[in-house]
Amino acid sequence: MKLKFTRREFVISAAKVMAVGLLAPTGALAVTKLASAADSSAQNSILQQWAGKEWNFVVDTAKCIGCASCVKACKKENNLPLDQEVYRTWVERYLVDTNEEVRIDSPRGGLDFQQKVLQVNKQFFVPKLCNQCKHAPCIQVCPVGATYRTGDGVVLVDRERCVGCSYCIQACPYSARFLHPVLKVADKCNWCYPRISKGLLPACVQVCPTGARKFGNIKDPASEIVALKKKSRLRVVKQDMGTGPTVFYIDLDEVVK
Amino acid sequence: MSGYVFPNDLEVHWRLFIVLYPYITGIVAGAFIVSSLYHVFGKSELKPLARLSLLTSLAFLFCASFPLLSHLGQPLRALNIMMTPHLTSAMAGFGFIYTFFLILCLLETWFLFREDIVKFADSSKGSVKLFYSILTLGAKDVSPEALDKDHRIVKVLATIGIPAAFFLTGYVGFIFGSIKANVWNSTPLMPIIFILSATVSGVALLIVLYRVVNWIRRVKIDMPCLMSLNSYLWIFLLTATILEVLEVLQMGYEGRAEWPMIYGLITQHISLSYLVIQMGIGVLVPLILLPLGRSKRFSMRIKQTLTTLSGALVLIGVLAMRFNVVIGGQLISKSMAGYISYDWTLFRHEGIIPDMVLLLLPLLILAVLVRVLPPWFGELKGPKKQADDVSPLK
Amino acid sequence: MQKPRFSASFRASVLVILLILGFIVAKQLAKPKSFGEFGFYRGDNVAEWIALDQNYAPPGNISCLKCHDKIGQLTALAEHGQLDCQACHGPLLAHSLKPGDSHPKVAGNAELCGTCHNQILGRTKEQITTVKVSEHSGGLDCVRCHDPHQPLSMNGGRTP
Repeated sequence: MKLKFTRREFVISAAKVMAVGLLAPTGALAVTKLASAADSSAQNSILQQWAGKEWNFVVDTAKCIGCASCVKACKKENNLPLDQEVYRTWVERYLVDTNEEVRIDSPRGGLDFQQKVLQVNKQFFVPKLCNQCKHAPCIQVCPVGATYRTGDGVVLVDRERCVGCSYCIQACPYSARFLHPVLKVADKCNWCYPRISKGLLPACVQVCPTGARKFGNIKDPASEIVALKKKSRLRVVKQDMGTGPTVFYIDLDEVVK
Repeated sequence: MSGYVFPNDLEVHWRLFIVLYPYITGIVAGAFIVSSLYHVFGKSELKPLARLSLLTSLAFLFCASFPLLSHLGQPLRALNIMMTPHLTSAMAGFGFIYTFFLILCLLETWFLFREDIVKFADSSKGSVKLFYSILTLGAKDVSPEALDKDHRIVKVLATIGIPAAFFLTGYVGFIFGSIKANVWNSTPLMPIIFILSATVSGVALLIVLYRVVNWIRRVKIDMPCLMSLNSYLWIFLLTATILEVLEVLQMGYEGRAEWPMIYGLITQHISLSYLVIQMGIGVLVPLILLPLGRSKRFSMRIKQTLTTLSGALVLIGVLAMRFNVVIGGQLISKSMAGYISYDWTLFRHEGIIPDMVLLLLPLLILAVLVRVLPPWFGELKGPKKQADDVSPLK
Repeated sequence: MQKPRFSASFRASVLVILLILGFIVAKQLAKPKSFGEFGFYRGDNVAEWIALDQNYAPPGNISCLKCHDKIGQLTALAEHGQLDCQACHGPLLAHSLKPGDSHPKVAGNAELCGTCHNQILGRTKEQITTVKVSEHSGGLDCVRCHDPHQPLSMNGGRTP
């Protein structure tokens, strides 16, 4: 087969292609790197914010009376419509009747527990929320890097980046995530990150009338969370999933889903 | 809704569009593999379909991203998937795998049809001439050496395309199979099952297309070609089904905590789409009809009818399979204590009508493609009677 | 026919290379500046979340007692002492920052008090005192007899 061009022409053409191939991306990279001289002071303030902090949550199921004040407060604090069936937190009711059969319900996330007359053996409430997992499957499956775990242990969703593909919602074993009905991006409990970053408590912890919800920094030896974790028998939900939850339950019965 | 469903589990998030995506990409991969069986492995009995199957693959490929884009909560941000792809997410592979395969398919089509494109450019007039001239990209050399080089490039692309096609459906299988929270879908076998059922759907579609197209053009069916497709369909269908059934049998045997929920799903909540449509109509019946469609006892017409009917049933069965995978798993609440049901809609929220449009669209595109790049050879026309095993190709 | 300078494969390759180059450039330009600062995400987003406004004020003993000290102290000594004011009064940040602008009222009816004190299945009497509203008050507002800040003062209620 005859060559289409001479060796000289080929070398020149190849050199041209390579020059374009190397210069163009290099040039673009240089331009973008210059434009984005990293705002290091903003970076540092976040790193300072995170220093010495690792948030944990403890739920004492024996104290929960199923009033769902937490559910209401969470919706109001985080501007989620009360009438939409999406919940950052919810309360489940377990009725273990005399046949060791379990009846579970959470009507409107616990806002609608009705009075009932039934003979049961064991009865209790279990509040649920996002576990801010150390090995979160939701972070693993997000295709665009829109969800992440902060340095102080909270999993957040970047509302500007999320494309609303719902993969994270499929991946969460605890059903903690949902599609925000208005913003059409993923949403979930974030332990009221704006509040805790200012030294406040999450709204649900603050309004709980019985102290069933506790929150704190396990790196702070004076925190009540540290003492609570030390003295209590703790369990997490769906431990076999390997997600490494950081919400710990006191008195979690084995029937809890 | 039955039993206890977590408050955030009341809605099915991945709906009919997400059912269509693996269905469409499955056909893309399957049709491409049929084309490669000829171009790479030299299965000459498939020559009548070699070009049509590539065009079919391309037509469906053009439509593959529509269901995904329409499904996103924020479709305008779709390009984020290619700009900041998170490499631990199988879904992040979409942009690159799809683009790679699209470019490969376009290139292979171009090299395969280049001779015809040049001929059309030379022999036509006006805007048609302009169109074909642009399509040539200025490469108008149709000497035997140039054409030979084209054929070798086609072979290389068709070879690379086989693992690329496997990736195209395999990664979708992995997306579903790697969700540990979804007990129905989570299995390492999912990518393999998807690849096999993709091939099945591609072959089945080509059988039906071949019949329909030749009926429209009044051209005789090439029986060796059809019978070859019949065999491929049967063996891939059998293999895919064995893996799927094995999976469920093993789950039942091991009897883990989630088994009662899975058993309830199969026997009650998706019994129609799984047991009747996917396994009954889509697998059992074709597995019986296909070998009958190759039997020497029957006439050519009956063999054609049995094979085409099987192809159509398999197409329905594979669609049901995609439904059962995508939606079936979401019907079990993550509480492992309750079920929801799928809320069928006509128009809104990925309803039935938009889905039918999305399924017809690739066929319309194919109809345009075969006008622009006719994949036909000089076949014999007319109602002449001929022996079964003689190809009508000149 | 004249043989062209560049073969078909060359033209096709150039097209593909240009596409890839175009994509690389676009990718660099499209990536947000703060992406990758702390991990595989947009670093600026952390500050965006922290900067969000609240609806609930800090706990009542900080936010409310500045003005409502008398009732706050009374409540603290009685049965509802461990409750945050906002558990019944709802989100009060706006009011605490600009007290004159809003005057949130709360209805002292059975619906509010019943959220905790209704006798529903699951709630045990060891946890909290419960009543069946229809038998206890016939549906009357709880505040007719109970001062919510001192619920059991004066033998269960204010004199009407």
